[in-house]
Amino acid sequence: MREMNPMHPQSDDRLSKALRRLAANSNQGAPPELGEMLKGKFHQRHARRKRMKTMGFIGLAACLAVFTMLLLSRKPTTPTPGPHTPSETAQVTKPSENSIPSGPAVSPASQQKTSRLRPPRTTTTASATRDDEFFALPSYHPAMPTNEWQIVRLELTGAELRMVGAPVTEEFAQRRVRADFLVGRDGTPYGVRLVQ
Amino acid sequence: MAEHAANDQELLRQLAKGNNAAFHTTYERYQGPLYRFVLHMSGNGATAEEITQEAFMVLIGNPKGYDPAKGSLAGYLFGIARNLTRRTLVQRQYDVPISDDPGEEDAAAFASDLDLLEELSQAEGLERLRKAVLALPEQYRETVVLCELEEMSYDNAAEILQCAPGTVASRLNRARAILKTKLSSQKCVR
Repeated sequence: MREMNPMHPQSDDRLSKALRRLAANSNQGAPPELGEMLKGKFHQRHARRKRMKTMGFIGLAACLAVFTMLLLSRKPTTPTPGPHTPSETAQVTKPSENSIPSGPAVSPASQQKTSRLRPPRTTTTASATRDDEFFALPSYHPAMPTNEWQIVRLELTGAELRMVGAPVTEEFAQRRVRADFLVGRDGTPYGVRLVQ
Repeated sequence: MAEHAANDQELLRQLAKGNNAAFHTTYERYQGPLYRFVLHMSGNGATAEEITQEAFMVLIGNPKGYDPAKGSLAGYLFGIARNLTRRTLVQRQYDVPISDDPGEEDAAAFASDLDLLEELSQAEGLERLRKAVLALPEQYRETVVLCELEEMSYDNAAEILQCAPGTVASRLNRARAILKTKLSSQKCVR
């Protein structure tokens, strides 16, 4: 009977030799196709990554160029009308018989402002109206305090304008116009300015 | 393997930049040991190929996932392969038991007057040894594969197996004892 004695030192030697032979016999690596495939994947991945990076840079540069162009081509704009008190925006004049804006402002503090209250004209058109002048409505009185007025923009027909006392001729009765109204705290309109 | 550690860092830097040559070098350096490790652990060429591919795909997908402070690149790759192998073996319930009762044919094969070493030098003998290694419990099998078949030092094996070199030594000792017992139990009786 001949067997490998687990306790025998010689068997250790034999096992080591056998294992070395097994190692030598299984000295293979991964198939070459796997290597080629992995190299291809690596190349693809990094080519795509480089492409994305380049596109990102181009996009960023384009955005910066557009932004710069917008900044350069931007013109100074007039401030948009909003709710503000007439004392800040309107110079109120007393309505008179002629159509020339007349008279000093009611509020001395508002004399340097641009809007003016003008007497009504019988042939009002949008083109004939200066956009910084208000026409006084019948409810207006020069003694009224102007510091609580507000400008309200409305779109309404010529007929409706006539109802509040604006000097609008019959031919504009059905047309819709946009107008700024000077209104008091109680909502009474004291002046009108045609916007469009 | 340890001698590669220094330029592994440079290789990884180049890998992250997309350098094809760096990938080629890395692949050629580690594909063989990785493939053989999985092959000996699973006993299946397709599994070895698949896991080798996955390990390198992890490296391709995220080369910065490897932290040099935590160990060598070989340790990192072997760690991936080891985890994937373990998972695969659990999924497949891989089991290659060595029959304790060899058939008549096997018995006849061993029933020669050659000693065991001579028997093992033959193809059948090597196959028998390979199966005996495969039948080892996992922790002993990976120790035998790394230290005996891949001829790694205890330190390198310990790094991959995440244990102390002393543990590697004792596991190897135990694995060898199991192997000897298994092989001696199959030894022919003349």
